[in-house]
Amino acid sequence: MIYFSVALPGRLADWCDTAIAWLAAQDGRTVERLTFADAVDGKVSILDEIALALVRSNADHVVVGIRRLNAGLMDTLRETGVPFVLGLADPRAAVADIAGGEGGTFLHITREMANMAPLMMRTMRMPGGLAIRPADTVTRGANTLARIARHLGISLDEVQAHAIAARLDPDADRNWEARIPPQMHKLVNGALGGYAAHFSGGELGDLVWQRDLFLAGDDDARSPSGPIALRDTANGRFLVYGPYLALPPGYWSAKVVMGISPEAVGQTFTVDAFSGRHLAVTKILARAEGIFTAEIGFEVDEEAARNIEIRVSIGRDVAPGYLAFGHVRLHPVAIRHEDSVIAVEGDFRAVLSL
Amino acid sequence: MLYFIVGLPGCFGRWCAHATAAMVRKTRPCEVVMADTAAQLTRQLLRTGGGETVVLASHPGGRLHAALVQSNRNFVVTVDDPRYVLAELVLEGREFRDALRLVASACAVIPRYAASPRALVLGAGRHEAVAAAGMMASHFACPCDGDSLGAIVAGLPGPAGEDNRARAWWTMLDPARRTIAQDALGAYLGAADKPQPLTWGREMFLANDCPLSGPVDITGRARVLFEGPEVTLPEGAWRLSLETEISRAATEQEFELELFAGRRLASRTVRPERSGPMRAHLDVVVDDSVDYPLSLRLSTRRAAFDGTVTLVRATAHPR
Repeated sequence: MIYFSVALPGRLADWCDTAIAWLAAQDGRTVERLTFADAVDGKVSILDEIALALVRSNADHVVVGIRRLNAGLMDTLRETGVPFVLGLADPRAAVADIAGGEGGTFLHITREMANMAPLMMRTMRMPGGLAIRPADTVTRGANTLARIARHLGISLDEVQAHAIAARLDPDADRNWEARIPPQMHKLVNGALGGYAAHFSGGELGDLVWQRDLFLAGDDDARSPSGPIALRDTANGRFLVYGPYLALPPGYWSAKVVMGISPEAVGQTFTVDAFSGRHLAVTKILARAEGIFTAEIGFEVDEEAARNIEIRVSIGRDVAPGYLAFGHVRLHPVAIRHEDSVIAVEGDFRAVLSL
Repeated sequence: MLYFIVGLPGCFGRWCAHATAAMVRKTRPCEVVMADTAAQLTRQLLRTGGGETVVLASHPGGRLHAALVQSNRNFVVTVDDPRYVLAELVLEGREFRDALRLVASACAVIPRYAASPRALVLGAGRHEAVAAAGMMASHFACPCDGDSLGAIVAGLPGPAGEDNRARAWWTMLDPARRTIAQDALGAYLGAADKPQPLTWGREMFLANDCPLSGPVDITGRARVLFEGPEVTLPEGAWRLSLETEISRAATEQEFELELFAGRRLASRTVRPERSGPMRAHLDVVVDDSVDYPLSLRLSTRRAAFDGTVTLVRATAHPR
């Protein structure tokens, strides 16, 4: 048998993989564990590697740990209807775990998790998935094992469940803040806190894309941490653009917080959302120096759900003054769930006598 | 547990697969799946649950071959007359081009698998059915006695399929198609020690997903004009040549010739010097890294106002 464990990298992922492997090995069968740390590119590579490992191995069962999901593999899981375990860790804790394990900059890891989280959200709605949360491993370990065994079609009695639970290291101590430098908290929490709320059972919260995730429109492609000279907008360049992150499909409102110097009063700024095509655009006249907010609303469909940009530009080629870029707060107005569309379709058809 | 049957995609290969599955089913549930690439195999195993599985592969890719050899796993290789397997597939309703490329691809990989010390090579018509089943049972270490094997064989259609119909089909085959088939399969019909040249006619290529029949009008945006034959080549170094006829209006064009096998392996820009015959070639080494059948693709590199390109043939010569 092939058992899938899908989870962001970290302790919950290890718990899920180990639990499944020990459950599958109960009857004396041999189990091989395969962990795919990288999404690779597209579905072909992971599918190839699973089969090649199965051919090389003589194990009766294979536990496939997927740490970085990709759309292609999701399609395969959906098409085949194979049951799998979905570890829903706090993505902020995943950032801390990756930084402490695989390494990498917090900015890079945060970007990666921010792109992964919308895929995890889609995976949560797939019928084959069994969601496991960190709390499930701490206080109800044996019950959780029983749920996993039932979902994967593995027989398990209560004594065995308690014995395995006692050997597993629960995913406790999820204090991500203690494991991430304080100066990174705003960045990590802003990009991922909204998803953390959803993964723990609540609604998707607001997301805040801090300026470190964006690029200033000069030749150095640096983040807009300091003042940006408006004259830099010459030749059609954007003052600020980025962060090329994914969002769950649905309707979003974005508040772009900026500040301007006195010389820039009277300038008109253009703020738009872009993902291969314009999603929304607004113009705003800066009537006074200081902080102001531009708000745009836009729809993200499946096609535009990746590489989303929020961009700021100015109408004139060479304008005086400076812009300071703050952040973008994104509020999910209505998130599109493929399954819910299917569920209500019948009602609409009945009302419209179709 | 996986049990591999590699061979031509005809009745005999299927018989071997189903006989093996029946032997395994004496003790455990078992499924038969068809897969030629590792990704196809994973998808099939996910659909079936991944328990005991007989994998029937007609032209498994290079990486699957490498994994199979590394695993020290026993497997069965079935050999048959490719002309009659082609006939079987067409008589079963498969389109001629599709059947021919499947058979040609299988012919290309079988020698590599048959040469493995873990291979049990079974020839169609060479063994009595119960004896063949017994050899497979022994090779796969399936505990089956003579009575069980007799019952298994009795419960399956004959291993030779409708042999006479296949022979009749081949004999009556339209001469043009027979030439196409002989060009694509001829190298595999003899007992040559080294790879022989292969030729693929126009019918083995597609333009806009339809079989190529005559001149291709290049008028319009830059685009793929035609591609094919989507056939696996035997392991080794090859030179693939494309012979075309270029109309006068097309001589000002630049063309791109590419070679694909799941990914792009080689390409070159072709500039015809005059109207008439144009020949271009690409070199490739087929080894365990090549997982998919090969296709040549000819494209225009920019928009054209007039002109035609006619494919004459494509050939593969061992280097």
